[in-house]
Amino acid sequence: MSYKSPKTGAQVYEADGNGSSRQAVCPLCDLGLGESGIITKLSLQMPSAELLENLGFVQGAYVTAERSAPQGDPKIYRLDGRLIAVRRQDALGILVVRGKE
Amino acid sequence: MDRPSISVEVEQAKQEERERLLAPPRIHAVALVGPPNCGKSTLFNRLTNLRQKIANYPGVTVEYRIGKLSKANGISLIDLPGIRGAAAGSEDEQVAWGVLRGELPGLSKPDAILLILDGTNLRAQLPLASAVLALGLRTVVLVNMADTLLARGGSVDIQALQESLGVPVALISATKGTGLEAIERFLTGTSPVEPPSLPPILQGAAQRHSWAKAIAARAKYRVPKESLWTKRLDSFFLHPLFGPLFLLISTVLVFQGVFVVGQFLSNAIDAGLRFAGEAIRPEITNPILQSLVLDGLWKGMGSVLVFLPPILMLFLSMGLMEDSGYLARAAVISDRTMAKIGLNGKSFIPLLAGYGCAVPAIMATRIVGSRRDRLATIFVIPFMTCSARLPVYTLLIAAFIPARPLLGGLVGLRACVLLSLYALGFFAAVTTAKLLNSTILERSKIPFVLELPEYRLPSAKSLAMLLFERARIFLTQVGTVVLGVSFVIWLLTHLPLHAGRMSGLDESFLARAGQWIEPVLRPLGFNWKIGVGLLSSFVAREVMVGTLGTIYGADPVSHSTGLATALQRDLSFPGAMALLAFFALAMQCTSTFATVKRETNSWKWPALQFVYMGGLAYAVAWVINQCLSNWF
Repeated sequence: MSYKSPKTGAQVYEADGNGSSRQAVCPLCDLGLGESGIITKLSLQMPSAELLENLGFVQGAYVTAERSAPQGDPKIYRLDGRLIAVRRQDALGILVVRGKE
Repeated sequence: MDRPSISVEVEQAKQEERERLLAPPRIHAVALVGPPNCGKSTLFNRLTNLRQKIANYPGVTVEYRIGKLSKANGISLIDLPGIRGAAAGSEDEQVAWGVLRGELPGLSKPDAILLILDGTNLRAQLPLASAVLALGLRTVVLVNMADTLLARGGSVDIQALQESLGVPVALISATKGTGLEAIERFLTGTSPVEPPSLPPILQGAAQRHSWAKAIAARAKYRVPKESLWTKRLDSFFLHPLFGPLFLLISTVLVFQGVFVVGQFLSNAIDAGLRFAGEAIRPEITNPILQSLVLDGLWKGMGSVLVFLPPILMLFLSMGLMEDSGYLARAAVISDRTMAKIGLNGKSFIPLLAGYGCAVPAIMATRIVGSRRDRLATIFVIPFMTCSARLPVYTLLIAAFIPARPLLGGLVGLRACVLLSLYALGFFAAVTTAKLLNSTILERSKIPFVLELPEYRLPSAKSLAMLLFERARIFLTQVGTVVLGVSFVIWLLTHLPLHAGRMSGLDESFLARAGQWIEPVLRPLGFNWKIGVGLLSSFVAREVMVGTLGTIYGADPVSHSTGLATALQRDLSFPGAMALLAFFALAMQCTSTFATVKRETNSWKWPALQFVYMGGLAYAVAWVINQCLSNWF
């Protein structure tokens, strides 16, 4: 029920024990353009976590990867009707389950 | 006479006392609070009817605007920096929360709050309401952009929202000016006063967001459709190919505009001041006073005033970019590149502006946001080759570099040298930014997160306000410092007195200082005359050309020859190259120094910058002179 976070190398544990849904879980930055997902877990350091949570990156929020900068990073996500650009390194700590709301 | 009995009077007094206690206390100071890009500034401008000024919080670099309400007399309105949520992320947000909690020294806690939220994003912005309402201050919630919300098929039940929040709520449009009566009613106390019911204390952003979701559902909030225009414009401005191309072209155009039009206006101001100065000259009969007022102070003031047009032009362009929403896109496009040197996309525009003039560029770092990135940007901006270096570059290059074609006549040798000086400055900036990351300024842990606002038509009124305020601040703050420095320099070039007459330049204190520092400059290949020129160039780089002109003009040997020829006799080729490098790297500009002092609100930063850049300039000039002297 766990995998290594690509950024910190720390073991990240999934809340639900359902192994079949694992493939659908990925860091936010891995969503392809046009793909959506629901945030399941945030594993972020304190200042990042607070800032992103204040913007609405909280468990259960529905996010769509809308566009990306010309060089691919940062990506622009649609969240609660707003467009928010997040760098890959910060989006790595936000885990989403791919799928529609 | 029939007088009311004493008991009646007592009854009356008691009644009045009861009414006084029941009525809400009069409001004196109101704070305008809201997230960034919610229309806060527009509302502020409308409510104060432009009776406002920009002030600095004591001890921090954050600015706030304060104004008098035009409709409710005697009430002052403070425009706080935009806040996103309960946690104080940036310095701006910390200051805003500090004011609301009454923790900021020198500023009393506001009596009431106007909380403005963007109606088109209500669900995302309601969590802020829970944090603000928890302060327990009298609050009215203004749901802004009512027109856009309704036009795009969104809706909200204001009555239901008011009931669930427990405070008055009004649907307004700051741009159209509708719904603002609610603010007046709230401030003058004629709106029905309900006992403020505190919202539940919510711990953490996740709880606040689920609370917001519930409130939005109870208020039957329907999210408006996304803006078609924003979508269309983004697919062009953020296009993998056209996006960066447009950014490049528009930046070039902006700088062309700033420095062609700005230069034209600067020249006009310069000519006007000169003309006025000459017109006054016969009026002042005392020669010492005449020299002090006209050659010292008037010229010093002129040297500041000519900066004004490019500054205002740059602020106009940046204001247009920011208010239209394009600036955020430009930051996203350039972020990847800026990240490589430890900065973020928001630093891109100020850095570029540094190629024109460091003074407006440093003032423009306000848009950067994070204090750490802002300091780093300010620190490296003076390395960008500003237009004041050009007169010195052209003089020295014309005197020491032969006009020889390179690459089959494609470019000239002189152009190549000029280009390499630009490259030297850029390289120094990049290296310094990287150095800052690993030393005094730790790489920021705050992530680069940027909300992309919807595209909007900028308002002429707020742009005009911005320009007016920037001009005022620049003239008062930088003007006083430069005026003081001009006075000191004038004293140094004209004292000591010889039998009641002022000294000529070569026997002045400045010349003595030049001779005194000659041993230090000798390893760089400079003699005392160049030294005096260098000293004077610390007022502003281009002053060097004028000073050298005066020195060589007073010298009988070089009197009849041109400045370039005179320099060739006095300066070796390695020395000239060292001098060019010195100019590329040293922070020789009083206006820049004064601007950094103002923007960072400390002497530490400009002093550190001055020493660092001076040390680097000296070291590089030394290496160049020593190496070239050995080769030639």
